[in-house]
Amino acid sequence: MSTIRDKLREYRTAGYYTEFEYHWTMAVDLDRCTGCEACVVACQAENNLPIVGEKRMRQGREMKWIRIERYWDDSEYPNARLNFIPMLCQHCDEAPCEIACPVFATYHNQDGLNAQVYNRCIGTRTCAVYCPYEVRFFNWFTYTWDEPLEQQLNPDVTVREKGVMEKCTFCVQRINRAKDLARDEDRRVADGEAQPACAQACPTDAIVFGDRNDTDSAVSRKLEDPRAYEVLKELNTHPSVVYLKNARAPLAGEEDDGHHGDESESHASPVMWPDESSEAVA
Amino acid sequence: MLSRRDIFKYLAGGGVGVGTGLLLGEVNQRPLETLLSTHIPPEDFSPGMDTWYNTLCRMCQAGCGISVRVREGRAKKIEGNPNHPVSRGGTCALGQAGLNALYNPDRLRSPMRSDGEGGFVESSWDEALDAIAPRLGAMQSAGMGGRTWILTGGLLSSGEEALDKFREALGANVLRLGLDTPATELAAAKAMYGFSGFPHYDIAKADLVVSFGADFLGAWRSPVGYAKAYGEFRQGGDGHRGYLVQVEPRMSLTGANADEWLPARPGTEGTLALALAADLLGRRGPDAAPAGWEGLAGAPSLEEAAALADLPAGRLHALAERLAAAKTPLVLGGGAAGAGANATEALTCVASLNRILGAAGTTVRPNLAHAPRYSTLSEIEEFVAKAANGEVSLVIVAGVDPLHDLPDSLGLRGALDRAELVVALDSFPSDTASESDWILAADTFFETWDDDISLPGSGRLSVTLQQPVQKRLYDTLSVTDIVLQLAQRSGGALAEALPYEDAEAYTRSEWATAWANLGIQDDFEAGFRQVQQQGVWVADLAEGMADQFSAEATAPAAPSEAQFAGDASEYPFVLHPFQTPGLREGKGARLPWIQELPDPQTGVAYGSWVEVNPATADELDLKDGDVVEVSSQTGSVTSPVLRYPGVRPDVIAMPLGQGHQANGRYAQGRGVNPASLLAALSDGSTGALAWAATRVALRKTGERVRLTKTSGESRTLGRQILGPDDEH
Amino acid sequence: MSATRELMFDHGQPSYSEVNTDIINALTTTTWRYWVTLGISAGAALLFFVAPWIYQIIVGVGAAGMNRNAMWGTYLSNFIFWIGLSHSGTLLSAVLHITQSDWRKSIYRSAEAMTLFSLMTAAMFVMVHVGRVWFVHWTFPFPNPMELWPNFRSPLMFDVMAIVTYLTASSVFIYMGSLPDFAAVRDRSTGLRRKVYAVMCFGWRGTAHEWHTLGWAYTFFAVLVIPLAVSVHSIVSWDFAMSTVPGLHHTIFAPYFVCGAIYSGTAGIVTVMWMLRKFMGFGRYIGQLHIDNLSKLLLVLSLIWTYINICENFSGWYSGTSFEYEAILYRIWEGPFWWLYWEMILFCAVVPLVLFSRRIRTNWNVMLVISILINIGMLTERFVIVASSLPRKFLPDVFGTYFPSLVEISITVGSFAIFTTLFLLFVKIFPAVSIYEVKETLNPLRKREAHS
Repeated sequence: MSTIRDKLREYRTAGYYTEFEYHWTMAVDLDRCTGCEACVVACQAENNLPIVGEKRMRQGREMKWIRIERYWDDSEYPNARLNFIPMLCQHCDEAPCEIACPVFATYHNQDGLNAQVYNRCIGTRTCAVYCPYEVRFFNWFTYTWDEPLEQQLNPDVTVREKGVMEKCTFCVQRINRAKDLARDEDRRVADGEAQPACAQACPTDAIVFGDRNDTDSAVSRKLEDPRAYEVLKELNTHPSVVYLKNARAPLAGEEDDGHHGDESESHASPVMWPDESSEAVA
Repeated sequence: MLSRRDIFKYLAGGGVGVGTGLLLGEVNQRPLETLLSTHIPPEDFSPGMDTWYNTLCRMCQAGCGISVRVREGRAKKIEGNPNHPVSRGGTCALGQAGLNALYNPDRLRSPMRSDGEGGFVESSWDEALDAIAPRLGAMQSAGMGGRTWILTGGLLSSGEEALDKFREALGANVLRLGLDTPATELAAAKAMYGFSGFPHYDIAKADLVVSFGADFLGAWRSPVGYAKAYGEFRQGGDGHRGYLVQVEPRMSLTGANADEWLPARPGTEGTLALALAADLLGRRGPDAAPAGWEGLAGAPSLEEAAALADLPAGRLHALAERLAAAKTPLVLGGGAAGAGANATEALTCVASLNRILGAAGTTVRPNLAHAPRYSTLSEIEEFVAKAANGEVSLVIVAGVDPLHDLPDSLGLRGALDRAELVVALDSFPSDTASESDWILAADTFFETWDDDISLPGSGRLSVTLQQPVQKRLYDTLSVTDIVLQLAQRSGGALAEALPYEDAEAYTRSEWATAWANLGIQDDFEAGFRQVQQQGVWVADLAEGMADQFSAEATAPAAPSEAQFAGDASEYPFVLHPFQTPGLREGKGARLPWIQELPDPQTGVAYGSWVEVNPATADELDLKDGDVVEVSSQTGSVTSPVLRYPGVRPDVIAMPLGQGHQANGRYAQGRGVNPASLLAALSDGSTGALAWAATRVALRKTGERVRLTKTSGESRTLGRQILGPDDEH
Repeated sequence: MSATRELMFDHGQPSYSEVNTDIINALTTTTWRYWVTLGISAGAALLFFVAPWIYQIIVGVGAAGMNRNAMWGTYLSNFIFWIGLSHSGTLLSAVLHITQSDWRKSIYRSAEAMTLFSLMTAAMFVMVHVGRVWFVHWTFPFPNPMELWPNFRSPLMFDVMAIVTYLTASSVFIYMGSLPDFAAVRDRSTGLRRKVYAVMCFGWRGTAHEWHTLGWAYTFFAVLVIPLAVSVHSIVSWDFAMSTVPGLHHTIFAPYFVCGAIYSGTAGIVTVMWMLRKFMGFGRYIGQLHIDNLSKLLLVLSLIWTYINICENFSGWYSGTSFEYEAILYRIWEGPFWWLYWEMILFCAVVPLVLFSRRIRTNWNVMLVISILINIGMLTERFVIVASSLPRKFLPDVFGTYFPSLVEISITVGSFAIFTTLFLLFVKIFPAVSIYEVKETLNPLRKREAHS
């Protein structure tokens, strides 16, 4: 009986691994992030993401394992403000996608990564439906590269065929390379040794990647920042990507009723501004 | 009698013979290196292992250092070079996409000759060079070198130097072209700091940055270097968080990241800065000004400036207070603020703030005292006039695409048509190259030697070495190689001026000469090898090489009133062309990764759009995707509207970089080119093109398209995606 | 009891031999109209279902209109629709068998057939839906050298199990119930048909022992099938409810789906009954009582369904979170499919209210229209749930839209052709009305008359 109970408990544990050898974690400092999208292209280059073309992009079928989301705050011109947030697979420890797959094509590995096994995937797309972050991408077609663009393809990363789900891997090929090297030298992977392409490309060092199990790592220190938060925390997914809130102070008094009263002379009419006396100073 | 056994023998023997012959034939057809490499691979080649080369990124003018990952003889990935003092290991979207240029399916694979009917036929280097060199030789001996014009960009590189030596030996003319050149910024730095080069802006050290139009996080001068500093500026770890104020009519990427975005009326930036300067001088006393200032004549009050710029005075007062309180402030000027008819005056006023604030020497620092001299509008007009008179025999277009990047109103297209022979040195069938008689297929920067001194720099002397990371993919030569070959084949002074075998020999010789001049006595080979490993050579600026702040400076004059091409009643909107981080002036358009990259602020990919303030759009009954005709005095384009809350109601903004007539499958015929609308108006002081001073009119065509846009709803709908609300 | 019997047979009670003749004639006499109908429907199945599917397999699922936001589309909603349609047949038959409702006897065979064929159609949609159909067998737990097993935590895995079990149980149930009728056909036919039916009826001789065993086994299966049917659609609903997607993540989904399934299944039975009466000449066996009872059932189900629907919207509004609230708002008003939502409310909640009138309940033609409307409503219900929830989940920046492509629409249309084809084949193989059980309901008096 006890074995059955143990088994049951085991099956109820997300991803089977509860303790991770390394717990790869990413911290994204939104105060540093400028939304320049260097990470987006770096990811495309590293991970053999296809060029889907304009038509398919229009159909909402772009493939960008990391993307920049943009949110205007609720004010209008001239107080409107734009916020950027990079969104990528959150490698949740309680991943909604992992319970979804009927064939175990996605699972949690020993490093706390949410792994996607392309070979095993049959394309039910349930994982993508279950993913609250919408960071899973489906190969609607077998994508090809115009010759000789295919010569750029990274030999360490599989090229996916039609009918297969794919997503950010935290550049597992780079992690594995670092782990191999460390194992050869009989040590643990040092902090900063494994860097995903996005983190390496980031010109403002907004993305910090490392092992959460190592309390001295740069990423562990970031996690203690009071600005740290998890996106969609209410869903209890326990993401491995932690964001550091933008420290930009809100513009004071954002009521802007009735600006540009006479629109025919909009460029001549003065603009209503928020109450300057309550201006917040950072 | 032939026995059966014999037949078998002959057949077998014949078979072996034929087989061997085929095999040998096969072997002999292949180049020797391929055969050998299967037995003795090159020393830097081991299957399954990466080789990293540190080199130079030439995707834009910034001159960042990159590391290229090469596997099995093919470049695979670009990373930033952490040794590089400008980019410090960072890269941008365009830099990351550099490999798309190398492996672009539409790259030129051999020299091409125009067939006279708009098409091109493949040619060979001998044929191409023999077609051009004799003309050069003839012009040289006839002393008619002045009939040759060289159209180039403006880099501080050995390759550019070779072109210059070539020009000098020939006695030819040169045009250093580009839409957004730093000419006005350099002029302002000269006037206010006494600099001959571009100042080094230390954003990381600043606690307040006020930027007048300079989109330093997106596309201005050195986005990666500035972004690196910006990270420090925001969250440097020492507890301080810099405050960023962006003054510009359209919210750029920098504006989107700013703490405050002040949409000043276009052309009023200088007056604003002057009013701030006067206010600061009033607070700090006249001692704050450099010697020689008689006070700021004609400086408006903050209220007057605010009214002129259509900004609330309270905001300006707050900004003045913030500037006065800041310990290490920094004021930047550039972009559209440096592209009006009064741009140099405006930027001088902006720069004067740095002197009053004491930023000169702390956050604004001297750099290399050298900068390219960009061509003025009148020089371009001179070229056009000469071409019209049939006085231009040869035009060499080296790596620039003026027919796309520059306004149609300059008349360059007609000038190139009338020139006797136009030779383009380019890796791509760019808009200009496609109008040429010869396209000499050039290498990409992954395949050849060169170097670059970054203009925005790092306050130190840093020369980035460009070296080939892999073998040439096609039958191409570098621009330097072509220049050397042309010089050799033309003979005479040209051959004497450039007696080098190839780009590598030339680059090495340049470095050797430079080091010798600097008195560096080290073993050149060892030193150069080290530079090859590091990718960059960094040294302190020697005496005489660095800029010095002038002790005195003339007080900035009140900028003249901004002039715009077009009557305000007929053309009610000011056109604000802007560069996106990917497309820039147009070099990004042929790269599929860049085409597929959504614009950071709008989420639009593939194609052009017209940004209209929602209030203006409501007035004109325009919704997202409504196609409008944007017309200036000199041209018109049609493009879909995008309602953008970050643009002034009297300004419409359009991204540069699309609208190519050629340039490969990814760029050709996609979107429109706002540069084509611009009037031939110039900055009063420098004569640089005033590309942000054209007025346009909008007309709804009634057509409607769906923008290729990745962004759905750009409001958080109260969802705490950007972090928990503070009150919780 | 006799009053009920009168109601069961519109044109007076048939005799035993008439029953045999009527029902077996329907099997053996085939007019050219049947062949034309079969040809058209099989052709339509090939043209609208098989051909686009082959195209989709070749180019990839991108042939459908789904995108990054809406990873599920009509394929999945149709799957749920067909599973739902399958619900009433076997379930109703089993429930009515256990409660010994006589009026079930002339309709249950066709109802069960409907179950079987709609399940098969649903299973087809699973295969159309997945990206790599050639690996779809990986969802089964079969021993393999790599020791790779399916994920038993996955609701899709539950689905596979539930559907396979339900399909198996339904097949056995219908086949077992048909044994005496196969024997009757055997006895009435000659030649090859006789031989085939001799095999199909497993040598049924009609001994008391056989009847006893059949009755016992039949009741056993009836009891077994009832919880199975309820669980199948509960499990299907978990595909949705176990996600976090606003608009899908509702605890009420299991009863909602079960109720909806029985609802659409019952309506489907009404449609099929009408067809059998009209085209197969079973008017004598399917009468006023049937249509009246089925209509009452429809009315009750419609009220339950409406109640749950109100609950769903209420909880979305009451949750106070942007996620749920916006999802509901998008579904019922702001989204591109708002009209489909109101169409569904009209057809499934408003129109069935007329069933309070007995005159309408017993009018076959009106009931045909209502039953078809209900099923259109239920088809769109599933579509609306999928198409309005998935494109707008949590992060507004990636909000998108979804519209089915031509391939999807064609396959949806084709699935009806597949169902029709299977049903047309069925009526020529199985006696579409149970011979022996109809006889059980005949008036014994009349039985004697026939003998005398």
